[in-house]
Formats: sequence, structure tokens, C-alpha cells
Amino acid sequence: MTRPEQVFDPMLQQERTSLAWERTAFGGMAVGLLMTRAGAQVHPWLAALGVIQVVLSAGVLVWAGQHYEELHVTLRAGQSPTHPGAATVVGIATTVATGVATLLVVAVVFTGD
Amino acid sequence: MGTLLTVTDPAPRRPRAYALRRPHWQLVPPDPRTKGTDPDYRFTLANERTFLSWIRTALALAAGGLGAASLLDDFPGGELLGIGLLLLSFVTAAASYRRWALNETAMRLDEPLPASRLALVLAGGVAVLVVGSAILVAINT
Repeated sequence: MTRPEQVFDPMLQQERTSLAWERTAFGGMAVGLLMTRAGAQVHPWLAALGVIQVVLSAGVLVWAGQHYEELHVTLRAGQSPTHPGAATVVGIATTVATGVATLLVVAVVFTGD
Repeated sequence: MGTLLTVTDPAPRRPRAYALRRPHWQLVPPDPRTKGTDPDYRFTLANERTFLSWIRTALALAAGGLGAASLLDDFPGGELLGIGLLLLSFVTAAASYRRWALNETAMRLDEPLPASRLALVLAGGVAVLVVGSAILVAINT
């Protein structure tokens, strides 16, 4: 067996990035479960906020898998893998989720569970 | 392919020239692709991974905060610790996209990466919460 002469994606940058997206998605799902628990302590309907966070994070996980395949094409064509859309969505969603989680805990404290 | 990135040493104070060169402060920086040229793709992906690390840090703080608020029943400072961790998590999450966009823009313009106070805020915040919790533990035992 011969080794390939040209290495595509040296040091597996693309794979490491995809794995980072997946780790982030798993983290988001874990926070979503905890938010579901905290929300249910205030009002059963508020548990839906946590469920939304779990579903969104699961969406990121699915997207990360697809994007990994797409990036092969982009990188082989020598194009930039910049993806402002994904960073914007995840950045804003995480900011909203942590803000909602803060409000939920404040609500739990003041409703005196 | 862009030239190699120059990462400056963490300066104790931001150079005045840089502060003057900054056009105007924006809460959400514009799409980095509108400026400069594509850098080496490895730098773009490394910047993306750094952004994701900050997001995971925010998520871990949120998980810790939610856990502290709802699981620490015997510890009277649990709620306070939880709210503190969640606020820190919110600040980290809000700053992470900004950092990503500013770093990406700097790389596209072949400029040094902008300085950030985020690490200092996070380290200081966690230190304050840990010391505060330790004092509460000491009082209650």
C-alpha cells in the first residue's frame, strides 16, 4: 500500500472543526434538559423553553454532519470555509438561551419553590 | 492563501493608534466577508473552533448555574451562585460572536488580532464566585 502524495486537509482541521460543532451541539442539548427541569419548577408550560433548546441543538448536530461533507467540496475547490450564518445563529441562540436560563432561575428563586 | 498571521503579545494596554484607527463601536460587527481577502482556510477554521470553545464555555457555565440553583438544596447560597454563573454565561455567549467576527475581519485585513477583555472578565467572575461560595460554605459549617 502506498501513501498518498498529496494530503488533503493536513492536520485534519476540517474534521476537528466538525467535532467542535458536534461537542457544542451536545453541550446545548444538556443545557436544554436542565432548562426543561428549571422551567417545569416555575410552570409546566415554561418547560417548553428547554425543549426548544434541545431541538435547536439537535438541529445543529444534524447540520454539523452535513456541513462536514459539504466542506470537502469547498476546500478541494480552494474556497473559503467562512460560515457567518452558522456562527451568527449559534451565537445569538446561545445568548438567548443563557438569558432565558438566567430569567428562569430568578423566577424559581422568587416564586419560592 | 494569505500570509502568516502575526499574533501580538498580550499588551497590558491597547495601543493608542489602534484605538484611533477603530472606526466606530458596533454591538454586532458586520459580515467579515465584506472586507479584505480570504485568509488561509486553516486560520478561518481555527477561529471557528475558538468561537465554539467560547460557546461551550458559556454552555458549561449555564449548566453549572442551572445545576447549582436547583440541586444544591442544603447550601443556602445555591441560588445566588446559580444566578452568578448564569450571568457570567450570558456575558460569555454574548461576547463570543463579536470576538469571532472581529478576529475574522482582522485576519482578512492581515491585521493583528484585536485585544479582548473577555478572558479577564471570565477569570475574574469565576474567581469572585468561587471565593464567595467558599465564604458561604465556611459560614455554614
